[in-house]
Amino acid sequence: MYGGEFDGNAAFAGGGFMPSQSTTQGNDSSSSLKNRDVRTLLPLTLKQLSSATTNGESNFSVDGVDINTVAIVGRISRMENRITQVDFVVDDGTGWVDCVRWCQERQETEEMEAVRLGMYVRLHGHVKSFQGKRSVNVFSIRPVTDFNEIVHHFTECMYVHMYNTKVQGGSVAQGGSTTQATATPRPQMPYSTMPTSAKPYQTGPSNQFSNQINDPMHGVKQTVMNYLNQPMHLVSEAGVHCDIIARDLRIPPLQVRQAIEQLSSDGCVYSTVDDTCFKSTLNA
Amino acid sequence: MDTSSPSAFVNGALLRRYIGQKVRTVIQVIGSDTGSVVGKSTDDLQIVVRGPSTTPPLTTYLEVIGIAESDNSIRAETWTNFGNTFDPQNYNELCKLASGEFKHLFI
Repeated sequence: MYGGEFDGNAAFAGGGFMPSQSTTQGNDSSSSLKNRDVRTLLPLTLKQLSSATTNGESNFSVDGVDINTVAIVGRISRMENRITQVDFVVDDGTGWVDCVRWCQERQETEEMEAVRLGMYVRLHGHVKSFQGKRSVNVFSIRPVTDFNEIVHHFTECMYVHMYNTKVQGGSVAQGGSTTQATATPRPQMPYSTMPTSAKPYQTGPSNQFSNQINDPMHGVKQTVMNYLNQPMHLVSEAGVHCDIIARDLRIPPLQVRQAIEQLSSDGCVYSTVDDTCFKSTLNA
Repeated sequence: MDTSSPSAFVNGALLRRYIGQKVRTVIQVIGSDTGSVVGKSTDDLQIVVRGPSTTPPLTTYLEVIGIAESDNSIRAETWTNFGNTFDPQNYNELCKLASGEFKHLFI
């Protein structure tokens, strides 16, 4: 989570629907998420898709995230097979959308043959716009066999929406701060630190996102991490003595010790020469 | 693409909010008769579904999409067998969220 990177692929096996953010503080929040090299896979309801904003060039975005690929789960309410392509309409209860599936390879034709009118399907595709009408160019589709998938998809849509809107809210509130040892906690990007873009460090799927609200030490831990992640401390072999941390940050030594213990068990810091000097594990 | 006639996710308690409107819900089938199915909603309330006169074989869980006629009955336009391994509690929570905090994503 350092540097504000969140790699969806690492966190959600096979998902990768979270956009990765390339920079942290001091950056315009909207530009940090509109990285054109980032491929996103967003689970969306058709209502969300129809209210996606567009910049007029077939570039759509939802909750500030560029839409690349979408995942939709719904029923096929109309279907026309035209040999090289199949035109169909998918209805997910929040709306319906025209879809087209080009079938040039045999594998594609077979995939479509498994899909019938009235079936629930999961599809992935790109959003296209023509004369103001939006449609989906489908490249992957399969029937739903376990109907819990429908509940799961909508739950996922809500989660991703919540995640993306919270990230936006947090970044906008932070934007412009350039001091290094800033102590302002940002719930969406736990322990995010450097104002200059640090080498993105991706950690595992830790649920720090949800834990902050319950963690009274969060602010102190964040401050200590910000301090230890400063370049001069990152390069120093011996690390920093915790009393010095306490003095520099003007935090009671006992609190610093407590924070360091928790950070150490989280794997964010480690002790160096003895158990009073610590270093951040960032870029270690 | 069109979002003008959505169907709201409802459970037994939410059905009364959408009387006259298109809704969708999943019920656990208790019994069926010609032209109607009686089921238990995901929050344990009884719901009657009036549908086509020939009822095909039904699995334990049935999704019904149709117009809410009263606070405990639906006139079905479509129904889909949802199998026997569906989780009604998850669905119940989804209904509450889709009608509450995240309504803007659905309706």
